[in-house]
Amino acid sequence: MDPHRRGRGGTSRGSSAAEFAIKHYANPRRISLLSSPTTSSASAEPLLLVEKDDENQIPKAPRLHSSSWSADFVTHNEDLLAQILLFLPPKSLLRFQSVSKQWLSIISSPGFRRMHSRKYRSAGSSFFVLDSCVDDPPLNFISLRQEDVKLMGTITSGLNDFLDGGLVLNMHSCNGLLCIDVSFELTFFNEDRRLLVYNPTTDEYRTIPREKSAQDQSEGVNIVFDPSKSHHYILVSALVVNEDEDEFRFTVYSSETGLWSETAAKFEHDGDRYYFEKGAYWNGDLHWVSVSSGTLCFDLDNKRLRPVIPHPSTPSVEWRDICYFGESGGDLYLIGLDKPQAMLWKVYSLKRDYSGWVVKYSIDVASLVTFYPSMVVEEESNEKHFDLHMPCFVVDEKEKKAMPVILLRCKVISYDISDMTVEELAEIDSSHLEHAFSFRAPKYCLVDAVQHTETLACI
Amino acid sequence: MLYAIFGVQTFLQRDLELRNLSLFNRRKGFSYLFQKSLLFPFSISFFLSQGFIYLFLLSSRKSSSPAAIMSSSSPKMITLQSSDGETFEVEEAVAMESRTIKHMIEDDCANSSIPIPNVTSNTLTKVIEYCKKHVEAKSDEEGLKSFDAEFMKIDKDTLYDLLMASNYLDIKSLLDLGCQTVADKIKGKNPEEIRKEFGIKNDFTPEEEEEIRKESPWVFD
Repeated sequence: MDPHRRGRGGTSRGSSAAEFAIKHYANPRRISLLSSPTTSSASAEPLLLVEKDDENQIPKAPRLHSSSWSADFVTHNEDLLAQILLFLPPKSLLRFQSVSKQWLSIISSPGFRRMHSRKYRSAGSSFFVLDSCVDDPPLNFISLRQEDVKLMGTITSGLNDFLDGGLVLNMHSCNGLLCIDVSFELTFFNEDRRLLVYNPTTDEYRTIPREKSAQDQSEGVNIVFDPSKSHHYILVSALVVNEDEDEFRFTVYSSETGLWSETAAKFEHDGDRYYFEKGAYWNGDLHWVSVSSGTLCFDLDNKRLRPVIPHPSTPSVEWRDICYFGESGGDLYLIGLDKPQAMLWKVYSLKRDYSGWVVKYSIDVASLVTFYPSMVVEEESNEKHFDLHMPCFVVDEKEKKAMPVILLRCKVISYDISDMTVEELAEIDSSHLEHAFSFRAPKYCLVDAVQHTETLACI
Repeated sequence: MLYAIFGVQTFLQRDLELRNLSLFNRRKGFSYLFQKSLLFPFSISFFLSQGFIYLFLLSSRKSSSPAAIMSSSSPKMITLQSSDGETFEVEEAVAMESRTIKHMIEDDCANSSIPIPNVTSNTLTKVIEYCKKHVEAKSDEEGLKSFDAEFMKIDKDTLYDLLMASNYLDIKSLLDLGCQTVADKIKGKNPEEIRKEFGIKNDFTPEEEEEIRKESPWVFD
């Protein structure tokens, strides 16, 4: 069965750029925290309007040297051409499909796409963000790189149109493929709930069949896609077994077979909620975190659970909160706070032999607080805490940078902890906040952001 | 040979011991003392001569070994012949950067010069220059990177010839470098510019082309 192409077409649709709650700045401001703090600014930054259906011209490439390449070279050296094409980013390849029939046949062939997805590695600097507010379109995005903002806007708008009218229950991504659990409620009693695997780069999606019982009991479906291991993807679903919701079983779907299969893995938790909707794929295993108990690992090769890895020990009795849990740049990171006003957050990374966590970075929050005093909120109990969320933590091994992306009440900032600079990426439109259930804005929390990378992988 | 000497030595020693034994067993007399005194210097001189012979052989071996080392380390040269008849002598290690040539050497077809029919002398010179540098400075990553960057500052035709040569000769690092260079040059272009660049004829009808564009419109902005 071929994957479906969603097909965006060229006609305009309902949602426009202005509806996004996260509006990226056209010229993001860079602030160094090491200099003396200036008074908080609310300067009117020109907002980048992400428009679709733009008739932009592609900037003319600089002219190369005089002689034109022989016409025979490319047409008669198909394997050499394929070699060259393997080095191009997916966006360029999709554009070059319309060069000639030969190019189209090379680029769209499954063999080439698999080789390319295995070879191509891009730094994950864009994130889809789930919007829980009913009035807003379901998806938003954050992009760390200016050049990606427009592209991400177009992709996200298209995805929103597709999900229009649906309630996104869960979204998970791995190496460029998205897994979306969405419910299109036809009537009150008649629910059209679908599990989709979607590739935002090639705009292809596939509906994954699922049993009704599994659908109801599902705590979260995660997708695992590792092009370096296989061009097939796997879905892991955690299902509740009993009414009390403390026992779980796991089923695995393989795109190779197209079937769900039961695993022998069973888990009973000790009263602490595990975030099964957001697993982190690292070191060949899928990891889920809970706030106090520890980290649960699912060994994908053997389809069994490993013993729970306890959280790093802290001076106080228990963990207060998990700030971030996820994989980036080849390591699994955990950022937690052991007291409500910790000024130095420790970033732990898990050792490869699962024996424990080691501190890899420290995030200095003190200077951040000086610059953004609204970050600290005092509750009625006179207990101060930080009013922020960290949906993403991006580590770039090559450039030796670690950048948490922090959502304050009205802003999205990326904080480069190595040179202590903050880049204000975007503004959050919080006009809908009064309708939101949670009085604790900002809106997007730990589980709401999924990373996006470009890939030509076949679904 | 040393073992032979040693063997003889032990034999003689044993012989001496036996003799001593028999001497000892005999009634100690003058004859015994006389024989003992004779044997003693004899054995000493024998051992000394052994020692001298051994030392002599050792030194001669030592003096001969540098020559042996030198003879084994002088690099084997491989001759390559380009399509226009020019010959190039390169060290075996440099030639082995090409998997094609490596297989030929291993299959023992490389005794005389190896013909490289599709590569001209200009291109072959550049290929050899690349392989030489990569063999010499193998561990110097930074140096190789800057060398590669400079090496790729060439015109289109040379780049193409290099690509074809490295494909034929199966030199992975040079092929990857060339492909990456071409990819970087073309990745920002639109399809019309690509066609102009490579002289490709557009064999799509306008409707077909529009169909393809519609599938992924967001990459065309």
